[in-house]
Amino acid sequence: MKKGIKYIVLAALIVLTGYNSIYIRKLSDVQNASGAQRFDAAAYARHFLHTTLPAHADRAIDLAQLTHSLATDPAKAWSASHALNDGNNRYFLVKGQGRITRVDSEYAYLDIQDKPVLLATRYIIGTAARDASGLISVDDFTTTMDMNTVSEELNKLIRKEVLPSFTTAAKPGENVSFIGALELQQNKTPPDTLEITPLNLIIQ
Amino acid sequence: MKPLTFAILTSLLLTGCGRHDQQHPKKIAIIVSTLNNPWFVFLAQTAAKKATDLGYSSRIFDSQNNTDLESDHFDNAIASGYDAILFNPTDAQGSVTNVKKAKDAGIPVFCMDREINSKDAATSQILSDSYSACIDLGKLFVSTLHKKGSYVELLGIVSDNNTWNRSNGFHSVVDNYPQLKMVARQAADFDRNKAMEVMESILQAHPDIDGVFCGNDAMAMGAWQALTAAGKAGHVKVIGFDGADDAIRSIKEGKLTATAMQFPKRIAELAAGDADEYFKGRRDFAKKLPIPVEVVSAHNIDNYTAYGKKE
Repeated sequence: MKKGIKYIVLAALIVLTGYNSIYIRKLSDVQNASGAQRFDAAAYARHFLHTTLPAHADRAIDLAQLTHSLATDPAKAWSASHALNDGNNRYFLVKGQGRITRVDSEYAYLDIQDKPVLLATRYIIGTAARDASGLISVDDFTTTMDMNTVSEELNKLIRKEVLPSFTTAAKPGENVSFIGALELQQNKTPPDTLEITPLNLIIQ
Repeated sequence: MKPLTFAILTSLLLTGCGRHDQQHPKKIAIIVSTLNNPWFVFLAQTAAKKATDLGYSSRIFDSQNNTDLESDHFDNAIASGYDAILFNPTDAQGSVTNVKKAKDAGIPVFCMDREINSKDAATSQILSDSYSACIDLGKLFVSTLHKKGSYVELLGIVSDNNTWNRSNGFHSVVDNYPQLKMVARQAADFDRNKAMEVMESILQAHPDIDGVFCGNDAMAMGAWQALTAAGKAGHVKVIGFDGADDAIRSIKEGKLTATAMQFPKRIAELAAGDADEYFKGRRDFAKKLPIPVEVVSAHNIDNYTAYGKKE
């Protein structure tokens, strides 16, 4: 009888010790509890597009002035560009006003001081929207993946929130004022037709 | 102790220290993810050469894509009194602990090419801007396939940020074209043989593809081998990433469509140079320094050689 009690106590001890020794938790729960919060690229992009950029709208260079400067004083013109690396692809935050001459499924065609300018209305691709202002630094992010996701989220926001009202209303003959991002390659002569990624569009 | 004796002893001690420094230059450990890929061999050897040119001794450690082995290398480097580590990580998250271990031991770590998921563990991280390059590769892919067709993607090591920066950059362009359909996507761990096997298997299920996007050149060469064996190499457009020797030759011969040229010489020399400046007292390093990557295709192949531009 005594032996039986001994075994029961021993078994209870083993079960109790074992139960308190092993914890099974979902990996996702552990990650969430570790304090390492996931970066919310969508929220960052939204704040950047709707709050940060408008607060720094004075950084935008007049497009007509930039094209003139690229032709007459390239060093000065390029010094106003930004990029996250020191490669040939450089980005400018630009502003301007122009008359819409044509609209198709991919662009609104503007005429600015007799120079053709395309406002992209369908394919919002690349890092121009993220990099043109020079306000975003790689050191702001824990990983480059976070920073790159911001670029994708910004492009999505432009497609969803900047373009729909514009493409519905844009018609030839109307005047539009814009703030946008321009990508140029420093090792090449700027193209005759400049393509702008829109960040803010107002039909006047 | 008499003042004269003290002065003589002190001067002898200081002279001894000086000789010791000259005879035993600072040591730099170069820990790389794998030496089974010529690109990383080039990166490691360039870093070692630069370290030697700067007057330091160095040793290359091969982690064989194994975080545990990498951890052993860090322990070894710390115990052996290395003064800096030039580091190419095996795992963006898993390698953070190793870098922190070195930091706690007072050893600066300079990451090369691959990133770790930490802003402050490494002294600096010199990284290829893979994402931007893959946007350009994506644009080239779209125009080469005339905006339509079926394609396959071969991913690198899924725990490496470069894998996803490349894939995401490519998809940020290609996914805008609904007539371009990805029929298969598999990891081949940046490995040529694995890529060949994976591609052979994918071709059984999807024999009529038009393109393959690979996260590095080794996988692109493996995919090309599988496509050649299946008699499809002429039709299918294959794109890689790295600017490795065989990929550059392959583009010249009209086989691979394109690659993206990383500049391992620049990355390795910058990292070794940073270590040199650290020893001399500099502390204000950029936490992350993206290095531009350039698209190489038949159009501009004459400007490039393996691992860089023609000089």
